[in-house]
Parts: sequence; structure tokens; C-alpha cells
Amino acid sequence: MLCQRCKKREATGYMEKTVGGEKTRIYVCPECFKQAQMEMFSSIEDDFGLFSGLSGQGSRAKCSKCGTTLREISETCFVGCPYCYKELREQIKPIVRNIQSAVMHIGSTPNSERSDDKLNEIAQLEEQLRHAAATENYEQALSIQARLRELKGESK
Amino acid sequence: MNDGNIILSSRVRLARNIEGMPFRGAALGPIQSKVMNALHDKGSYMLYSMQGLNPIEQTSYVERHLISKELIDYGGAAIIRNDNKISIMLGEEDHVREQCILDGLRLGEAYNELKPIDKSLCDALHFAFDPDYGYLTSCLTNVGTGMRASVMMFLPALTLTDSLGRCISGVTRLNMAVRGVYGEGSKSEGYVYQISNQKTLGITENDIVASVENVANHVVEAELRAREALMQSDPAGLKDRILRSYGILTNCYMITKSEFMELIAFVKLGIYYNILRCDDQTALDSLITNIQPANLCIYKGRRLDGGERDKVRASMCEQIRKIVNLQEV
Repeated sequence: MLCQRCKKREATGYMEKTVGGEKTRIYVCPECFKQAQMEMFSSIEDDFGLFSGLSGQGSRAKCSKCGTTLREISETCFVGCPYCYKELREQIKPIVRNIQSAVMHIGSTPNSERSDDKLNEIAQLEEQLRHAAATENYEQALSIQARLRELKGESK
Repeated sequence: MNDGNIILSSRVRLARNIEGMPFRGAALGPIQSKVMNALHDKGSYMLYSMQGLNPIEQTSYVERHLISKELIDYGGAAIIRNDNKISIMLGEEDHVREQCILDGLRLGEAYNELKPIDKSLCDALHFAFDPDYGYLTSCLTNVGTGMRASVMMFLPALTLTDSLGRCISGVTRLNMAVRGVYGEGSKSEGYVYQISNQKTLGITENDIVASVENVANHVVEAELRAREALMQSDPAGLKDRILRSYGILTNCYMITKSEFMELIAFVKLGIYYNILRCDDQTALDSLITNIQPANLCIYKGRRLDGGERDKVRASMCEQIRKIVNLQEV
């Protein structure tokens, strides 16, 4: 059977498409199958995926200093320049969260070895958490855990 | 106590970039002298530009773990302290990559060695830093602390008892990566693997050090258990393989690197099981580095083809006779 997409090559498999609630089968060749998958992936990305919170800018958002686009960053995990982090701050957050399970730095800073206020609070909360767990105060433990996650910028 | 020499070395690397410069393709020539000046009171350093080294010299630095393979591809430069414990790569994936490598499990010490160096370089170069994202890096996998803490581990028994896969999946679940001996994308050689943290953001440097050390200690325990199981399952076969390995290494005329790495692993196991006795562990470790292809050429002072290298390597194995002997019963 001939591929129903390119109508040139031999079809070796099929894809299912739902149009108006009805499922239809389209027989395709391997090349068209790959192509259709790529198209489907990029449309999902644009519509619902990593770029959903971009208020219309979509994956075309880019750094005005070096020209690196959000799409390039999301595909390669490579950022163009330090300014990209400022300009695309909110847009790259989901990508960072996906990789690091966190979006907030709590380690050392150029001026001090540690960002002390935040770290002190974390240390105190961790101590309280140990105490809450030891005394089986689970409700309190849960709320401390939530605050710790917030401070560490971790996703749930 | 015989700890089995399971943890060979500890390495801490910090990735840093200079404010206002693109991550790739930045002209880093002018910063070389700034880095050298910033390090003037931190020991004796030498600057090596990749363009100024021939391919053999470049590779010999990779074999000694002083630079990454990527630094050669990027055409960067390395500033190396004369004790070979500290090296600073300029123009790799990030503008600056500071690393400290020490023997054994000493990640905390390695980080402490790097801290004053990092501070001096930060003052001199103004590293890109963001209060939310921390130290800004070329790849999002390094952002935050920019820290990669890794331990190089010798895991023959886990490999030979087919337990390594299970061990790796356990380690991976703890957000750690397991790689080959020369880092990302490299294969394991001589049963040596690198374990390192994956997470660099939302965690402090000290917690990274503690978590990698914790995982490494668990892997050591697993390797020791596997060594016990290996000996129990076929003591005669294992002893035979160890002695044959020692025999071949000390009586060969030509030997490839992969055969050497396989056999020396069994010699090291023999030392662990007290079948063999090593009088100079440092000399044995240096030999393993020195028989690597580029270091062999450096040792001979000229380019050697594969066959010549195998002969020179075999002649260097003579040293094994002097430092490793059969254990007297």
C-alpha cells in the first residue's frame, strides 16, 4: 500500500487520528511517520508544553543581547550569555525546575560563603522538623516541609 | 587496614563565567593574565595554552585528569598548580572551571582548597551571579553552585558479580550520575567509574559534598560485600585469575592498554585478598597513569605507533615485579 501522506513511498505502518470524535487510520511510510511525530511534538510544545506561560511570546522569545532563543535553550539546555538568565528569567524557570527540581540558589555567593539568612532559617526549620517527627507531630512536620520546599525553591 | 583502595580520588569542580560576556566564543586571552595575577599568592602555577601544545601533550593532561577532553576541542587554556592538585581551565564550556583533585575520599578538603582560589578569581574577574539562579553557567545542568563533586571508584567485584547495574540504578535514583573514567560520555576502563552529583541548584555546596560522600560510602560497602561473594563463589578460580594476571603482566613483551587495564585490576584485587603484596601503592598508581598512550610517548620523548607503545608498555611492566610480590604464607 502507498503511503497516504506522501503518496510516494510504501506504507509500513499506520497512525491514528481523531477528527470530530471519530478515529481514522492513516497508513504511512517510516519517513512520514517520523515527520508527523516531530510536527505533533512541536505543536504540543507550543500549545501546552514548556512555553505555555509566555503570554503570546511562545518559543520565539529570545535574549536581546545574544539572540539565543527560548526554543534553543529548551532543546539544548545551553544558555547564550549571563543576560539570558535575566531577560528570560520566568520563561526558563520551568526548564530549570525540570532539570534541577529547584529554582532557587541557596549555596555560596560571591560576597559571602553562604546566603546566611536563608540558610539559618533552613537550618532552624530542619531542626524543628526533626523534633516534630520525633514527637509524632505530623501536621506541624508537613507545614515545616512545605516552608522548606519554598525556601529551597523545590517543586513538590 | 586494607580498605581495598576502592575510592581512588576525589574531585571538586566549580563552573564560573564572567559577567557581560557570551558563554561561547568569548575572547578569553586578556583574562589569562588576570587569573595568573590573582593566583600569585596561592602557590606556583603554569599556564598552558592548548594551541601551544601538541596533540600528545594535550592528551597526556587528559590522561592525568588535569584537563577535560572538551578543553582541547574548545581550544582553551589551563593553569595548573605545580603539585597537580589544582587546575583552572579557561574557555571550556564555561569561561572558568576551577578544579581540585585529591587522593582518596576527600571531597570536603578539595572544596576547602578551592574556596580561597574561587574568591580571588571572583574578585579579579567579577563572576556572573544572580540572587535566584546563583552562579550563571553555560548549561542549565550546572547553574546555582556550579559545583560537580565526583569520586573515582574501582569497582571490579560489583562488575564481575553483575551487581553493578543494580548499584548504578540505586545511585541514579539518589540524583547522582555514574560515568566512565574520563567523565561524560566516556567508557569505564579497568573497572573504574566516576560518581558525581547531578543537582547543582537548591542545594548548598556542603550538602553536595556530604551527599556524594554518603553515596560513595554506600558503594564501597556494596563493593566489599561483592568482593566477599566473589571469593566465596569460586576461590580457586579467582586466585588462578589473579596469579595469571600477575604472571602475564610481569612476563610480556607487548601489551595493549585495554589488556593492561584488565590484568592490573586483578593484580589490585590480589593485593586486596592478600594473595599479592604491594610495597609501594603510589608507584603502582603512577604506573597506571604512565602506561596511558600519550604519557608513554611523553616518557619516550617521541611519537610512538600502536605496536611500539605496546612494547614500551610491556617493558614498563617490569616495575610491577619490584613493587608487587607474591604474599608469603
